Amino acid sequence: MNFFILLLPFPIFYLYFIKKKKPNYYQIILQTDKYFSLDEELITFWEYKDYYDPYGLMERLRKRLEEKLSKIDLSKAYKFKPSPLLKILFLIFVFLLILNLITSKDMPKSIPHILENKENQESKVSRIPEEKLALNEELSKKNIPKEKISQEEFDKEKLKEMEKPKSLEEFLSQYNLDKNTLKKENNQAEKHKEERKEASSKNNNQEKGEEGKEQNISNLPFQGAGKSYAYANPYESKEKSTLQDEKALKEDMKGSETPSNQEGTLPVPTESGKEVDKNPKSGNLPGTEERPDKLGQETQRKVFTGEKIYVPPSQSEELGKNYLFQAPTLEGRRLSQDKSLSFNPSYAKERAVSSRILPLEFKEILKTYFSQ
Amino acid sequence: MTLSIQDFTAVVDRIKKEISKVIVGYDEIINFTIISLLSGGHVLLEGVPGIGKTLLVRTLSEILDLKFSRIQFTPDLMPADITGTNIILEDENGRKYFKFQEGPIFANIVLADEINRATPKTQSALLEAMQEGSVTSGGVIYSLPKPFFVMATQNPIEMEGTYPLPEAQLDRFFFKLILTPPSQEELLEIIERTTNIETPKVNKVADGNTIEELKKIVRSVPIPMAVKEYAVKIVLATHPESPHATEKVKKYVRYGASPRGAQALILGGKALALIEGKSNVSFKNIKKVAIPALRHRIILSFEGEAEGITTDEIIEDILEKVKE
Repeated sequence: MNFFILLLPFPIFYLYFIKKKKPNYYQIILQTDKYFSLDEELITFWEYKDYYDPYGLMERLRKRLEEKLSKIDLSKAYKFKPSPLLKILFLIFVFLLILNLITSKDMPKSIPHILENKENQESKVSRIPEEKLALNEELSKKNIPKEKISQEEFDKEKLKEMEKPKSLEEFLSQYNLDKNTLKKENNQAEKHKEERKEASSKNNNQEKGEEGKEQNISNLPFQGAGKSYAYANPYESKEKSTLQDEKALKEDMKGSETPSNQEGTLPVPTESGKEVDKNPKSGNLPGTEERPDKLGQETQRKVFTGEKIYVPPSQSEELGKNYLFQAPTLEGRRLSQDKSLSFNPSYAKERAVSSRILPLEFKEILKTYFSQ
Repeated sequence: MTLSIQDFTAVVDRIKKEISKVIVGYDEIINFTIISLLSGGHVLLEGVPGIGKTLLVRTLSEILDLKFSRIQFTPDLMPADITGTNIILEDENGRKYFKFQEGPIFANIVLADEINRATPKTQSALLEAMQEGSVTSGGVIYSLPKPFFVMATQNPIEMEGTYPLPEAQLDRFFFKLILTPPSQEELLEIIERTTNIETPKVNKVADGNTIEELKKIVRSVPIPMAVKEYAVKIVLATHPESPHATEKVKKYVRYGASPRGAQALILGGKALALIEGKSNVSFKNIKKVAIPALRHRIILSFEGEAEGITTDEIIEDILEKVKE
């Protein structure tokens, strides 16, 4: 881009400015008086040219003025004194000139270089068939016997070559470490991952739909847990702190689940949060599943024996307050941003998990109640 | 008698030379005193006692071969003591009649010594004399001799029992000149001259007619319109309500200079130009006479007086800000 075109309005404006500010004779004479330090003698002489002078003042003034003016060499006295506007114009000109030089700095150097490269390449390309022919001729002259190598041997040789320790430069030259290409590759890899995930999630959903039909009431308390586990997943990618909180939550859950697993009365949750029920179920609604023993045939009911199982006291109990259901607390669930305290704290939602609150005995009772 | 411009320069140079025989230093004061005399104005000299105020006036009167009178202003001085009064006289036939007895003001050069010690009533007796060059007594106007030149002195230190001059009285003075104490060299010279057996004597240089002719020459000096406009702008700038007024004027000035101030600038500039050997008035001449011509015509506001601002500072600010 040529910036000199921007200079065009300036001379036009300057000419207009000069024309508009053109002084009259009076102003010119006054300025001359000031410029040559004539003590307003020139303007006085010009103003009082027809003045009646009985005391010879004007005659003396004329003589003094002539004497002063004779000493002035106009060609030497009037040095070029640029106006402030002209100075500004000159500065802008210089600035644009420099700008132009900077922008077009690489142009004259690179163009001949590129042209030279192009010529070299063209000459090289033109030489290739000739060189090929020359090589073939040389080979034919030498009559070198060609050895036949089997594929296995060839592969072995290749492997050996690959196993050979290379210099760092050679090694790095195998890979394209350009940032842009790396980014592209990463993006592509991420895209592939996402596609895979989507595909797997679709499959899982289908499986879940099938499994959901088979689920019975026995795994109800753990559905919440499963869901809470699922809730935790989005936080994994967002913030580590929340992830840690969720992990703590899971550990708590596991802690509450382990005694029930020991008892062998409750279904065993898997890592993915799904529960594997030992008994096949036919319905979704509680109490509609097929019972292994029909009613009246085996009427032995599970009776709460009153075995003493240690239940860790909740905080409320420690404080002397007993509640059947404990409201979810937000305490200790503050989300931190960038590992620093925020003045606008936000809290992670916590689902009320009955398994955490109810003792296992009560869970069993409830389960048997609803199963009937 | 018609004098030329060369005669003017010669007379002024001789006056200066004769004054310098008695007065040591004070070249500028002498210059401004001569300017005021040749412009037809009066001078107010301000300075501490013993500085040579009275001596300057007396020397000037001796040089100029003019009638000189001195009035010592005191609180009990009456206007008639200055202007004169009608007294009853008896003729040969025994008939009584009034005759105007001229006061000390009927002189060419009047020294009003310590003018601020008289009452305002007595001070105002000078008003008509200074402005009109005449005295009215008993319904009769008596013209004062020409040239009429009043030189008043006042002491700025002993202010107790004094009556500061009213604005109207101050405005009548062409210049107000402030005498500063002499330097070491000047003081040595004063001692040398005044403590010997021989006292310096001055010669008469000019009479009243010559002075009157010189005054005419001063008035005939050409002054370009740009310089006149500049003088007017300076005077207008002393008024706080004027668009030419500077920030300092707006803040510290109560009243600005009167048109007499502009007259003093122009006439003073003309006389100064002639004394400097020029035939026209320049911006420089106006600037040079601005301070003595305007310093007593500007009245400071309460803020100005409280902050110790002087009128000289105000004028310097105006001269700096007002463009030629």
